[in-house]
Amino acid sequence: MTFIPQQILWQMMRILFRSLTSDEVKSPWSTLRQDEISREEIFQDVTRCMQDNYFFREPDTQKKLLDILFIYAKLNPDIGYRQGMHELLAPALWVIQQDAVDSKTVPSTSKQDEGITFMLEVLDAKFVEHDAFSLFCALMQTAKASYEIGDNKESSPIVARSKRIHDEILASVDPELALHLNVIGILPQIYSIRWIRLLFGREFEFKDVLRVWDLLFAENLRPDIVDVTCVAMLLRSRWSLVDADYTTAITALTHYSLPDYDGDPRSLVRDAIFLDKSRSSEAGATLIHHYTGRRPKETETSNSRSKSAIRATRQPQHRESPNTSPGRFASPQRQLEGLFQEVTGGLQRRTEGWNVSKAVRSAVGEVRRNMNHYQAPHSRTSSSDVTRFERPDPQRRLQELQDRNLGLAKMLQGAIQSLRSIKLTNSDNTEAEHSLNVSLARIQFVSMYLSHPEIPIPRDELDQESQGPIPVRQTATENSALPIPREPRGEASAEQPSIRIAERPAEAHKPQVGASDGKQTTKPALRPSLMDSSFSFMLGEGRHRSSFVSSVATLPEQRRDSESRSRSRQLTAETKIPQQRSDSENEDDGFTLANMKGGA
Amino acid sequence: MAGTRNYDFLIKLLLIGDSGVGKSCCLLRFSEDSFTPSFITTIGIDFKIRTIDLDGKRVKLQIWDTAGQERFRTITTAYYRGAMGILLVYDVTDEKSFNNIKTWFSNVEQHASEGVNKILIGNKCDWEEKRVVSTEQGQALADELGIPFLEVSAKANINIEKAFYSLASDVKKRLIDSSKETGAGTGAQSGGGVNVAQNQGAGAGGKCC
Repeated sequence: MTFIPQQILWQMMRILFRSLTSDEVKSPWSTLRQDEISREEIFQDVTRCMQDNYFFREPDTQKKLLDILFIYAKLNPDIGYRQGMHELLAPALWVIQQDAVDSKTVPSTSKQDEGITFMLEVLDAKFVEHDAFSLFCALMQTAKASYEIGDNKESSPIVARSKRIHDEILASVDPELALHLNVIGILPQIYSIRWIRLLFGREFEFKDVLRVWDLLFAENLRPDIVDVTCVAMLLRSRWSLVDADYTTAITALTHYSLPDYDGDPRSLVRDAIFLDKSRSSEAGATLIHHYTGRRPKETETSNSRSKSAIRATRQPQHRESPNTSPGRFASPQRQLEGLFQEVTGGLQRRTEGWNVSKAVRSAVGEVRRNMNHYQAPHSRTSSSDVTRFERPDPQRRLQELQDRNLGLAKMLQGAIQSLRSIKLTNSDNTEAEHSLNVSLARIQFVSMYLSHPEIPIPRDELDQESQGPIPVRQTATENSALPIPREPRGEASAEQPSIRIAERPAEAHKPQVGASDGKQTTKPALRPSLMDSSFSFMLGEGRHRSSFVSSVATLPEQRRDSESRSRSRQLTAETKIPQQRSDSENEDDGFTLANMKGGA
Repeated sequence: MAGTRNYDFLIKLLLIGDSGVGKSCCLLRFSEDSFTPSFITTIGIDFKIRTIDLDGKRVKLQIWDTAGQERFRTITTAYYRGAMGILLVYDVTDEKSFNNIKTWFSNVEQHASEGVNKILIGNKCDWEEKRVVSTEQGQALADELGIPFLEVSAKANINIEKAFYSLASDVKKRLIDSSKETGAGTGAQSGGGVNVAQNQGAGAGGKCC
């Protein structure tokens, strides 16, 4: 042992002492002390986090929350831990914990399945903390901005953001409400800080929060969609806020609750997606009117303008679901429905963009179902049911149904008339059989329309019901039980052979096409060819597209053209030669039942 | 809204102090007379209302509850401006929260309007076995800052009412005095010219337990 002079020893002790007591950040001792303070601060919030849920009272859970938040704070020294982050992490941890599977509980026979092995790895209970940390970091990539403090002494980023929500978004969507809130002196940050930082976590029930997050995440949690969701929340309470004094308004906003008539807060995000596309007072008025039946004063006079504006913003929707029904966008309700369909379309497109191959997804879906019974039972309701859409206005719906019923009654009336005419003129068997078939077909259609209320009834069908029978044999329409009403065309083209049979008896009556209406009641054989009727889709011919079909679904043109045209040619060839002339006439004139009616 | 006013005075109060000292619990006790041990962290700011009767006048208290972590932050400065009375709250079982009162106080001096009434509150005074800040220490700090002092317990419902009433009373007195001087009320309406030099609230704090 070497001798150390006392002076040097003294010097060393001084250095050691300084390092122990130094305030310099670099000192490991001070870092340790700061870390302890930081952990204490985080733990204080962790012990106050969602304590009504037993899961969050468990020491194990609290330790996970603490560790994750602490590590995040260490990795992000610019922001550290800020109050509220714990309530962003908690739902993520909860969801992962609920989905976790303990591989020991899975029988080894199941483990041989490749898909199950994969899912066991993904959902392994051992990695709950790891997964929660990863998810939290991903979430914070965009949520972090709302926790930043900024350099500005007078204002912070979150205050500036809240102000922008009021002064820019709300002001353009509902100027009257924005003005009123300004006049009574509501500072937007008072309520919106919590809304934004917790991603509405305190504003709704926990299960609803998870659902709202699903939609927000599907939008990549972009700040715009969060901001506009805040505005959508304001619009929902619009009528109570616009007359409120300061106390009433601030109480309503700091203790937000959705009006009773619409308990699903996901509609707020959908509203936001709609508003985000068109930040105009027209769009705002449309939403307000949709939920409350009242329209703000300023836009009351410009209804039509607003509708066209909204429609203009939704052009891409036609790409998603081509729909030629003219009444499609007749009301704001319809417009919203259209929008919501677009939203799901968007969700779908987005998931496609996530490079998740379909194979993996279907495999995951399959195995996921198998997993369910290995997972601990829990009350969490499925949060993936994003496709449920708004209920239309009941009043309007009732009216629509009444109109529809009237139309169907008219159709039945026509069929009954035809049946009666069989009785009167049972001289010709072929005629009678045909007439019977036509009537049966009509009744079949009425039955189909009744069982599938979403299929619109073609206007010309209703109009022509009393005009004449429709030449479709029941063999064709028996299949019109149409299990998938959105694709009647596919069903119909599969039935080509029976239609061919149906056509044959008609040959004899061809020359009589064009006879007057009056005769039809006694001579049901007077009719145009099937190709010319509204049911021509059954032949698979594209020229005379039935409005019935076109208003329901996209036409699978290619298949129809390739498969059915030849059949329809064959069909025409099999009919008598004299008919060729009338057929060509029909084609030239675009001859339809409607024409016949007009010409009669 | 003035037509339907059901109060004579409107007083805005603000609760500040470190995270976890029990500001929200004090407010909950005062506004709803309840207490929950499993409280949640205040994010940003919260808001409660209670109308009290003070010397025969209806006084509506609008009380702002801030997030403890917002110390040194600019978010709360906006609320300082409108506040007429401020409760500086610390936890008698947490020395750090007591030491930070001076920082909070300087924040008030910096951002709040001049002459705003203040009161020092030591919460959790029922938790004797955990106490680290004595009543004397609290009183000494209050004297140093020149403000009234009270030890309270939201859990045991000790002195909560008294704390809010005394601060409200101080504010009311100040506003009446200033409105007499200037001839116009500032925030609160001079309720029919009440010319009273009302009772001074708890000037000297008392040990609660």
